[in-house]
Amino acid sequence: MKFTKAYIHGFGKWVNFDISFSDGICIYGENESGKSTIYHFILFMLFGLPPKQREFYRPKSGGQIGGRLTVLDEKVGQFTIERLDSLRNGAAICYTSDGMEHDEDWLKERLMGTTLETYQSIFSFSAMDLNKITNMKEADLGEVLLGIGLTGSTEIHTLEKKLDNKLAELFKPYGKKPMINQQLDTLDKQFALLQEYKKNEATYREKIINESHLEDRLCRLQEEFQDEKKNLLNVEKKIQALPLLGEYIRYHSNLKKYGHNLEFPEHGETRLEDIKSNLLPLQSEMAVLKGNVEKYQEKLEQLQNKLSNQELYEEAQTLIKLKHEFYDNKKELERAENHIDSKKMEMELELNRLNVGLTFEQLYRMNFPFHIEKTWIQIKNDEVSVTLEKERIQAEVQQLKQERNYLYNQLEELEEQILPDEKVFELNEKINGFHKHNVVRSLQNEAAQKQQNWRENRVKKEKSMNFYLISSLVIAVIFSIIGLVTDIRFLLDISFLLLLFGVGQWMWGRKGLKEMEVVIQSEYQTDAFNVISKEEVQDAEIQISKHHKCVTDMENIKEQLKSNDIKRLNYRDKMNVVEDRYEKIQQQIKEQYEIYPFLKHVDTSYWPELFHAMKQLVSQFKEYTEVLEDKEKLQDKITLVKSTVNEFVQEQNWEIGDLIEQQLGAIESFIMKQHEISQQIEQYSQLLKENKKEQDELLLRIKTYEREKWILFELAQVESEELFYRKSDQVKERKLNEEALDNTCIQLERLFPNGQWKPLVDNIQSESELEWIRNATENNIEELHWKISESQKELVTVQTQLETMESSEEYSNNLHQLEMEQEQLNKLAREWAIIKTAKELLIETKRIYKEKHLHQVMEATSNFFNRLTGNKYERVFAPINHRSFQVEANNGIRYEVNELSKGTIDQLYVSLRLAIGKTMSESNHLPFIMDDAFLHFDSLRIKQVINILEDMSKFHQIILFTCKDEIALNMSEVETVFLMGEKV
Amino acid sequence: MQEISFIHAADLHLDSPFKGLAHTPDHIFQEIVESTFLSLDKLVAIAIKKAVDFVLIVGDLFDNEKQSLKAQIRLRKAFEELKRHNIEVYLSYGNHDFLNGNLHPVTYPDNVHIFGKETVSHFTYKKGNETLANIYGFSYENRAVTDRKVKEFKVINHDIPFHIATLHGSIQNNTEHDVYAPFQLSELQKEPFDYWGLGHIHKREVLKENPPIVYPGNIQGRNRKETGQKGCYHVVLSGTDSRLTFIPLHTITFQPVQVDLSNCENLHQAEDLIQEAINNDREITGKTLIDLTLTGDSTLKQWENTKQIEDLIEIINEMISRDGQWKYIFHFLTNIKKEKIDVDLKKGEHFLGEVIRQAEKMDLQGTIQDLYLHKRARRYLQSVSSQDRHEIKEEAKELLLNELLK
Repeated sequence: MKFTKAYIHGFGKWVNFDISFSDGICIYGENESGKSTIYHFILFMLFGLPPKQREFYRPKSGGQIGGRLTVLDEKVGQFTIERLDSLRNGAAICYTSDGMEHDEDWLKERLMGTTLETYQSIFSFSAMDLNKITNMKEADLGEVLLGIGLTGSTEIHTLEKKLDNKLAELFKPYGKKPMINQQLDTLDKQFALLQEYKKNEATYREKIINESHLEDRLCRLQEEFQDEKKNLLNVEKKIQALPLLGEYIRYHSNLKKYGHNLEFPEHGETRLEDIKSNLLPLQSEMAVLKGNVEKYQEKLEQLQNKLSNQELYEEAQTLIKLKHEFYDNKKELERAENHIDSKKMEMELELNRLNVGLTFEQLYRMNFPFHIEKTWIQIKNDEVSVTLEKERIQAEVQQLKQERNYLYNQLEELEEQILPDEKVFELNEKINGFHKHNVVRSLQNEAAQKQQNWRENRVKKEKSMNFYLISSLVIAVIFSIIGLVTDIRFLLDISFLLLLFGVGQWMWGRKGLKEMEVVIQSEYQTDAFNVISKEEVQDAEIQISKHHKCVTDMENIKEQLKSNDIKRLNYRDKMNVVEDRYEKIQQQIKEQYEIYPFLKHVDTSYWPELFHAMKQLVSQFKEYTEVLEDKEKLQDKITLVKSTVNEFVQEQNWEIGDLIEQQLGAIESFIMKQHEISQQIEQYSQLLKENKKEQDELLLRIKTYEREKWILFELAQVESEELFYRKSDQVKERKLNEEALDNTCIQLERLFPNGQWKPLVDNIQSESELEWIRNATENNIEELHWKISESQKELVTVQTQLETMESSEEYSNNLHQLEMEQEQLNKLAREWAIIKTAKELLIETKRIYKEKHLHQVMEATSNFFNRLTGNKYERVFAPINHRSFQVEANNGIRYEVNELSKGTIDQLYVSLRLAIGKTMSESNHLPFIMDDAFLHFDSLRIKQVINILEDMSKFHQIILFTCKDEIALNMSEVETVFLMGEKV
Repeated sequence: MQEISFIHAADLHLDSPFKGLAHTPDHIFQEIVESTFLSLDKLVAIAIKKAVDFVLIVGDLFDNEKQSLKAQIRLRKAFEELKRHNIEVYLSYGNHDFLNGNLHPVTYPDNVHIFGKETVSHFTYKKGNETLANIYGFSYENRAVTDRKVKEFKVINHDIPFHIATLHGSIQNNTEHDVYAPFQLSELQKEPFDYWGLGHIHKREVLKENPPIVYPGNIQGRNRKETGQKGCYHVVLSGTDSRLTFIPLHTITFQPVQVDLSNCENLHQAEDLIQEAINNDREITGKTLIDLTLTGDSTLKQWENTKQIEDLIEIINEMISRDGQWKYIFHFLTNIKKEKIDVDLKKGEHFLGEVIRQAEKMDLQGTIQDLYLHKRARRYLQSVSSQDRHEIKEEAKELLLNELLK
């Protein structure tokens, strides 16, 4: 088979790349130039590639992976293999020259069973393979080379080693550590254990039989045990019954002694005892009662002697009644005395406070009529008002005096200021002279007018003056009348004043009118006048006016002085009236002093208060005197009682002190004593009566019991109490015997029921005899008991064992485990068997293969090796039996492969590879592909290799990839393709 | 109309170890050990619940070869429980628990009626005063009964309403099992029996409906061939009618699971696929021992060779065997799609071709005798069948090819 051309549609770096192959072709390219890619493309075309690996070669530019390889086959001629990644999942289609299409299987047929792997191991080799060789261990080298000789690869040897290791790991016939050996150990152990368990389980049958034997035996023993126990019980009962039997016999014979004629009342003795016990206390009680009667009588006599006569007693009682009265009076007296003292003290205190020179004794005669209080108040009030009036008037008079002095002083002043009349006249002349000229006319008119007005005014004035006069007179009259009637002085004064006023004003008015008339009539007489200057006039006018003014003021003051005098006269009158009243009042006071001299010590203004104090004192004094009287009465009463009591005591001749209290106490205790004695006497006579009654009753009861006692004696047929008791004892004894016999019978019956004891009475065994039997039986029982417990223990042991066996899981578990371990062993054994078989198969195949091909391969190898080494070595010998791989040098000396240099081994390797390729290709002409296999060869060797290759290429296509230009350039017969050039 | 009801079971194989389990976690191991007993307890419970008249157990209650006292004690307890509920038991011994091989003299309570001889005999079942059924059967006295016992079965006293035959044996032409007490179906139908209760075959099968001829199968699967539900039949017979109900008693099931890993590129995917297959398998309910078959290509082969599959299964087992209703892959098998590689290689002149050719010629006998005839190992190892030999050879060949083609 030959490759003629290839078209790479897309594969790795190659896209749309064409290449044609001649019989021998050297493809040169530097590293990374894509040599290997072409190599892999060829492999891909021939054997296909799984998708994943295919994907590795997808061109970087994208696009299809795939291409075509045209092949020339010896049988079918030329055909083209086409594989495309996208079509049929990379499966091949082959186109033959006759236009037929074939599938992958057809292609495989053409490849004659060569697979990728076998192809690679036989028809292609690379520098890498050489590297492997050099890494081999020396000792194995021969084997490895043989393997290469056989298969072209180093795998056989490696595999053999591996299989050996695995076998050793799994099993060694006499080993300990391998897995199967260990598993066997486990199994043996388990098996032994199982056997033991099995043996143990086998005892189950024995144990079951044993168990039933033991059960039988136990049953038998227990029966015997029960029997013996019964015997023992019987003997024990007999022993127990022995004393009882003796008693029985004794009682029986005893009973025979008593006759049958023993009459005796039922419970006779107790009944007698009862009667006696009842009788005895009665009798003793009787004796006591009698003794008491004597005692009581004696006592009575004594008491009666003590008792005094009745009269004395009654007198004492009346006296004692006075006792309370006496004490009450005494208390009353004390209280009265206290009261008197306190009252007296109180009054004396009051008198001192008043301090009016009154003594306590004076109070006896003191008396106040009903009106005295009012009189005293009246005097007090009048005196006060008169005094006040007096003072007021004096003050007024004083004031008026001062006013008058003042007015006189002023008048003197004014008189000094006044101008002399001549001067005034002179001045007036001046003025009038001046005015006369100017004013005559008007003055005349005016005077006329004035006269007219004056006349009118005068009428009016007269009228009013008259009116005031009349009205003042009237009012003055009225007031004086009222004053006289009511006796009010100041009204009289007012009326007097009014009168003065009315007359005064009328007279004053009159005078005025007359003056005015003079004035008015004088006016128009001023005709004569001198002419004077204006300034003089003015000055004169001022002087005149001043003068006029002083005159007027003087007039006024004079008026005032007049009125002042009038006023003073009035007050003097008033003063006289007041003095009169005062005198009257003083008279009244003097009268009072005479009647109540103590008033002298007191100012009239305090008289009303004094009256109240005095009145209270008087009433208190009255109370005081009453109490004094009461006291006297009480003292009389007390003395009376005292004398009466004293009299009584004197009569009785009691030697007690004179004190009334002691005497009264003595009387009282006398009465108490007497009373007590009489009570006791009564008590004792009562006791005596009761005693008598009781004695009668007792006697009756004693008789009843006596009668009963005699009835008992009759029944027992005896005459005395002594005999009665003797008979009673006999009866008791017989009864005891009977009871004891009965009791014994019951006890015996209890031990031996249904009268079984009766024969024993006639046939009594001795105690020692019975004791001996009992001991024997007890021993028997003990022995049996021991046997039973032993058997039980044994049975329990067996049963426990059986139970343990029955519940034991050990055997079962072991069984299952053993089964599993066995399974594990079988699994391991099978693994071992497979590996063992594989190894045997490998060895066998190797042997056969050697037989078949080794000779041929060695021939070829020798040939190539000879040429490669330049005839240095003649022959190569495959290992036979114990002889290892050897080469023979041209001098006939043989060397072991591990004695060769590394270069020589490389040459040997290449020779082997070429030889095997050549041998194999005789039946299967697949082209050789070498990928830089001779990288480390020197130029001499390269030439030799090239020679060989060129030779080979004549009948076997060789494709050589190299990066060594030396090789490429040395190729003479072989076509060389320069990938670099292509690329450039 | 009269009616009887009973439970028909056979092949209890109490306490007999499971086959083909090399290793299990402790808790699963304990459950395996207890499984047959639990199934027996369930049988008792069902009998009581259904208030049946009696229970038929047709042979192989336990294994004499690996006889454990525990098996018989537990059996006794079960019978005692049935007695408490007035349920009778009719039982015969088969080829595994034959009479002469029994070591342990365990006495069963008196409600248990045992066919004690190898000749066919019968017991009469009475309900109150009423005689209701005759039950016929025989026991194996020795390991094998090769006589045609079927001929001995004759109906006695036709007045009794029901006649039930029990037989531990197999159909004559059965090739899978050892043939004991052979019979043909037609022979069973000759006599007018109302029910044929069979034993010996572990796979449940109703051979005939009228009258019913029934293999109830065993009550608990014990190896990877005994898959699925296992149990007994609850049978109600009336004059005209027979009603059969299968009642599962198994505690643990054996279940095959197939997973195709052809499209898997890595172990993670494989793990997911296996998990998925286990989780989605409707047959898998309750405690299950899984027999896993993996299908795949060279990748799978690769994983197998490097023991990665084994590790993977261990990981999966760790996950699925924990909870109460555990699952456990106890066995796996790889099924590699054969590429034509062998065929191609065989033609080649090269070494691999020679390997294949040699493998075909090879005789295994001498090769493996080192171990298989080893003094200590021999007694524990199963004999290697021709099938085994073939498999070993194939695997050895594949091993070599895989290694050499690496």
